[in-house]
Amino acid sequence: MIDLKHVSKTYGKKDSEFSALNDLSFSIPDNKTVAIVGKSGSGKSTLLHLLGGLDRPTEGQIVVNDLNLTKLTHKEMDKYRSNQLGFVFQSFFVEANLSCYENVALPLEISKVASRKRKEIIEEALEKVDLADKLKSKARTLSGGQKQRLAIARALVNKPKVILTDEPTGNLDSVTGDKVIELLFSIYREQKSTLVIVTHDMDIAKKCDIRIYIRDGEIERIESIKDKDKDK
Amino acid sequence: MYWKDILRRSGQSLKQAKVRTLLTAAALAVGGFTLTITLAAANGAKAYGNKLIDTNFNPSSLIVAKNKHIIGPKGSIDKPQPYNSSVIASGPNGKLVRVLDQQDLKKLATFKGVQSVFEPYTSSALYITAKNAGKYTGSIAAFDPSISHQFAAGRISTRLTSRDVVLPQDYLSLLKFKSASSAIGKTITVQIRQVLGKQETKHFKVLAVLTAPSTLISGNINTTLYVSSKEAKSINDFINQGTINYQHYLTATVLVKDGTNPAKLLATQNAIEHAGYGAISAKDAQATISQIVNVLQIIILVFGLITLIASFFGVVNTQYISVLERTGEIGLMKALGMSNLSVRWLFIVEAGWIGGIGAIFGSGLAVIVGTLLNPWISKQINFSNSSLLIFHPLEILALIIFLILVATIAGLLPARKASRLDPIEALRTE
Repeated sequence: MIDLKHVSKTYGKKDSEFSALNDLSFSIPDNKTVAIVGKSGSGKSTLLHLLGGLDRPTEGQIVVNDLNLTKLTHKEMDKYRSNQLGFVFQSFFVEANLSCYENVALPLEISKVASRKRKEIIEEALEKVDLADKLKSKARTLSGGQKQRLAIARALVNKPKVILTDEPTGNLDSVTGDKVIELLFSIYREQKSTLVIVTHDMDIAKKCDIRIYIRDGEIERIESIKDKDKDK
Repeated sequence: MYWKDILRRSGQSLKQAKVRTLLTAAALAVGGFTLTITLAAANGAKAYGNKLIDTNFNPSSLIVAKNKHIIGPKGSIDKPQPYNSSVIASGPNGKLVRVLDQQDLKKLATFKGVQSVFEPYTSSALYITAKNAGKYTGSIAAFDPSISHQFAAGRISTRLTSRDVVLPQDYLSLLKFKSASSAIGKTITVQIRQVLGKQETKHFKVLAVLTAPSTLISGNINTTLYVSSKEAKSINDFINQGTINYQHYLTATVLVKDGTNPAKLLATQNAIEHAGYGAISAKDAQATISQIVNVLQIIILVFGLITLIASFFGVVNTQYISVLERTGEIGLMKALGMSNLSVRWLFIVEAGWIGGIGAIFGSGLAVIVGTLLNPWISKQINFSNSSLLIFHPLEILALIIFLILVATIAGLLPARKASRLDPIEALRTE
């Protein structure tokens, strides 16, 4: 369960204060797919960063799976990110000179999973994204789509309760992008996690259970699965 | 993150920038090389000094001089002063020194703990020859049985008689002896001359042949023939008769009873010094040599440390560049939940790796080059059988750890920068 109450985020000091998010309140039940939709600069990425614990709101409260993020210490926030979240970014952020195995191993190392248990978990994660045969290949040898699949494997390897993705298809062609979205949805179904996708692509947004439209830092409207069905 | 993962990840990061890593490590390697060689040379010099003292000094004996200061600038007299028979000119530059006379030698024998007083009575012969051989230069001195000698042939069971001589090995071929053993019992002739021209011929039988010591306290031991103390004094008195040097001696050797006991040696040394004489033990001589070596070592170490300071900033620079290049990666690691402390350690350890590579490469190269060139260098500087460079594994290990520590400290500031990066800003860089 993700629950936001009157969340605001402002940057800068008094004279040059900029409000990125203004009084956001909404709830997302468990095991849902959520699209955060908006134009560039609308505040959707800021919202994702707040959900991911990479930043803290200026006002309001964010509760994710009974954890009040606004009250967590730095250490607790690190633990929250390593144990409960999986991140997928537009720019992949894979280590080009490391093997696929080593890339996927990073979250396990951070969350101190015993090294003897890692191999099986990593192989399983790579299997899911159809990169089992690339276990020892350097990430630099992969295509764009493969790199994003590798990033997905890295995001799911810790079996997170929430997967946060920021424009996951932004750097991919439409065919590859569709495959990546299909993959994300299939993993979401299999792991029974909550999938949050920040996107401006309406085709992707339409596939989600909940769509949160953001404009100028405020919620324009929220569409739930019922409305989505209406669209069909 | 587990330590082993931090170690591995930081090592992997270095592999991604091999050339930069190696060049930075090379700067540290220069420092490591210099320091390793310096330490090894100091070890060699100290070992040589100790060997020098061990083979030329009896540890139970004291070298006694009339002056309080045997070694150093105060050993000579620089100003004119009233006539005193014990002040004579000595040395190649004619410096004035106070010397011991026969009464001093007798007085020294009376101090508590003194077993015997030995005077080498060193004199220069006009020439030394043997049957069918040419004439060669050489000097005569009293044989000191308290110093351990190595013989190529013959042995000395008791004291030398007035006809016995111990011949240095270098004279064998010159005096037409086929071997050391064939020289035993053969006669050699020593011609001596007074200042006024009166000459005397002495004949000795070779009792033993002395091998050249591995370390020489002075350059002429290979050209000194040893005779009995009585005969050496007789020759010394004959040569110096009528001169100011007659029965005057720069130093005498005082053998202390149970002198291997440091307390007893020191008690006798204090008593002799209290009476106005100068006295040094083998230990004092070793300390003096060590002090000289230490000063030289410090001078070279300073140069090595200057290199290290330059390398220090090299590591700082390299790590700063590394942080800038890997901003996105740092952002990702933080997004995945890596703590600031782990990020900091990752970069500190990375700097430590550079230090380790540089140190092992520099010290290793120093050991290899030093070991290969050691015989040649030692020969060039006349170190005889001794080694100029002596490598102590523990010392090298300590140096490697020190260099790793230096590099690690150099990595602190860049690591701090990395740990303080805002993950959101960092993720925007890609």
